[in-house]
Amino acid sequence: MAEKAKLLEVLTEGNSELYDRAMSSLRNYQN
Amino acid sequence: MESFYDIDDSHFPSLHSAITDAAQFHLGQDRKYSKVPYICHPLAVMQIVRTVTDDEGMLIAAVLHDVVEDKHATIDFVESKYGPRVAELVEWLTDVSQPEDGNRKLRKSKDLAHTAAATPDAKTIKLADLIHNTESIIASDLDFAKVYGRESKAFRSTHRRKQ
Repeated sequence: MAEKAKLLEVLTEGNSELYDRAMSSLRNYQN
Repeated sequence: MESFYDIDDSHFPSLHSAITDAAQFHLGQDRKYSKVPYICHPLAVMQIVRTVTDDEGMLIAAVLHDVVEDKHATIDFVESKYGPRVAELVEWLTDVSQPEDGNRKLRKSKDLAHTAAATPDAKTIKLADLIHNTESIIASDLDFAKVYGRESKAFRSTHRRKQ
């Protein structure tokens, strides 16, 4: 998941709704 | 997941063809962990992209996003059939590292730099890819936890009876 978190960091220019959903998915996984 | 029923030729003339191509390219291929047919993944990514845009080029690129990386097709094929914009998007969504680039960490670093330089539209598709991959892992882990929980309970029950 660390790799996925790093990937998310470079995707800030993508659609903001999907960015928030991706961040939420990663947090769900970490919990 | 969104419905597939409104993906028709009048709204998305080339998307139907892209889905057919992707289904052919990924035929016989399963997802790494869940073992479901691979085509489920690009279709799910396309549906996630659809929640934020009806841009057909982006939807086609979402459906085809793994066909070059998995060596089923070339960028030239994608460009000749779906045009330069879709080809550019698929190129941004394709890892660039090669085995000779070094260990896994070095290869991942090279691929991350490639993704960081991508266009906002390509990054939107990559976000959809990331969402589906993460949600698939969570679902697989939950399934594993359920099976493990059941088997563990059965084992404890059997073990207690033997004592």
